[in-house]
Amino acid sequence: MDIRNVIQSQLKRVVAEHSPMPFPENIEDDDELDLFGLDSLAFMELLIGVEKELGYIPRTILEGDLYPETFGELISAYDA
Amino acid sequence: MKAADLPIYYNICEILEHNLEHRGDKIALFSENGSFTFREVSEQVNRVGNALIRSGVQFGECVAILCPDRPEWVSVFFATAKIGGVALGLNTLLKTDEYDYILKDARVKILVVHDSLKALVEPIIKKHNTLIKVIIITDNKSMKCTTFTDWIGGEKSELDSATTHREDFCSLHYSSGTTGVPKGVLHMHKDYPLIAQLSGVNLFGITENDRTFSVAKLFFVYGIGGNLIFPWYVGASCVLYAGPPRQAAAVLKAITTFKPTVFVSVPTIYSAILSLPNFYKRYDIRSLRMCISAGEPLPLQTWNTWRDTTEIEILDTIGCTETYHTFMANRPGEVRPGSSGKPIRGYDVRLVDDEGKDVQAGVVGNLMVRGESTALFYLHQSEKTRHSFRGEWLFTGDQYLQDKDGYYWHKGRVDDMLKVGGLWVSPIEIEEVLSGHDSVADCAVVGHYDNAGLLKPKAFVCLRNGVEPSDELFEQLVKLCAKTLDAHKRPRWLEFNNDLPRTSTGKLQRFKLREQ
Repeated sequence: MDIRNVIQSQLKRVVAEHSPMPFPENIEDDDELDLFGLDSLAFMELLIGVEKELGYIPRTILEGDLYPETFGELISAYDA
Repeated sequence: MKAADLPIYYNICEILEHNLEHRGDKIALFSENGSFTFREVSEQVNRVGNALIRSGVQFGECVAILCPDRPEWVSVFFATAKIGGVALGLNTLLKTDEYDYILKDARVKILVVHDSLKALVEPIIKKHNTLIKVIIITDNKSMKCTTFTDWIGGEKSELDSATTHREDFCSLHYSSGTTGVPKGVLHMHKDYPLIAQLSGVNLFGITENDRTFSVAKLFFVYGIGGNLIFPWYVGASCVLYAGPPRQAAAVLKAITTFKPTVFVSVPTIYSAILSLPNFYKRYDIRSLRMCISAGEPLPLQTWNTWRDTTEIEILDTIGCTETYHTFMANRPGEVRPGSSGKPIRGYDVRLVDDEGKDVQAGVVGNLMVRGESTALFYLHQSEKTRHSFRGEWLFTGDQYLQDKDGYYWHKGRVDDMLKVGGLWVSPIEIEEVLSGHDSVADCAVVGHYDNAGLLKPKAFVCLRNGVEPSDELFEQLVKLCAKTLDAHKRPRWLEFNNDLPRTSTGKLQRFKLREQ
């Protein structure tokens, strides 16, 4: 399963539910997640949604070492 | 306990230093930046105090701290108070123009700023002629500036406290206002032991065996009270968390690592933690014995699920910057979920109508509170002071209802302010941003509850004649907010309306929008 596609579709779902911000047609790696204004609850829903499809939450995020600021950083956390 | 029970000449450093005789080698402070004993903290405070004096800080002058929750924050705070200065913990979420306002309003003499935040104040530092020195907390040894480490490096670790009266001011806190201009609230040395005894000991029962942990940062009175003053007043330890509170996984990890017994948090974080399936299996939170909530009303569903999952009842409380900390709370074993509980010992509350007359139980009224820790005024804002500080009573701006059993239930605000994620949000500030768009003729922002029962801003926008609503315009407005406003201030929903409900005199009827 393509990690990028999974994360992108989950992010799109969470943004639709928690933010008025339209999801861009082409999201870039350096697009900042903060743009969507997701709070702690929405970010957690994103992690859970991805976990349901990929089966895990990256240790760096679970351990609190990484708080992804951009879409690319989020992808990298799962790619590592 | 009354303020009069304290020595006339009293300094809040006593809250730290009374621990030196019997528990000087106990860990006072756990953090990712190291753990420190009461003795080590005290010595650091003295070094900072000596550096402040050498830098020219005089009695009553203001020292500001712009820094995540780290040991340096604590040492600057106590050192400033110890030499008779006024410590100002700056909110790390503000914009540059807000720092500009505060630095001028408080006549800040020394600013201690963490490397990660200095870009926020760099453009304005030279504008402030009262500011004589800026100290940078950094690990970058090649930085061309006065670093915190160098600043205190040669200082002695002994320092006598200034002879401060218990009613001398020792700290300044800024709270958001409806017009967007922050309100400066000064507190006295006496207020600290008062809140520690009335809330920390009498209400929460914190003992020296506890270890506190707070997602509310030290620059909030809720944070510094619950996670510094309360524990050290009784010889307990605290855990400082420098990370962003919105990262619930990091909060859980910190609980697993440092094993606090008391968790000081806000409803949004409780909800976020609960949304992670089996969070109690992924993380070890068994150390917790007490969970406290404030900042915004706690949804009933969150309270129930947390109790069912952890077997701990969240104590929902209310306090404010003006009273310094909690004045009403649910007590252990007597929780009425969804309510703010009852007034705690040391504070009285009243519910009054718009003419100031007391209302009966079951009727919504304006909440007034009195207690000895209440501030006296807003700095440089006499009109707002007259409105809020009414004799010995404080007009809180909250509207409440008292039930037949004496519990108080939050029913809204009189000034339209919103509490989002525990942070004040002024609808006017959001409306000003939206009104800045050429196509917007009129707009209004009100609070609206999301699926988790938490309040978020909702915007209603009227367009100028000839401008039609469109997806493109919607996107422009949303992006304008994203560019200008912090995440918690951005409207969660945005609707186009033909007009806004107003009275015959033109006053906006926000209550009608709340019902939409």
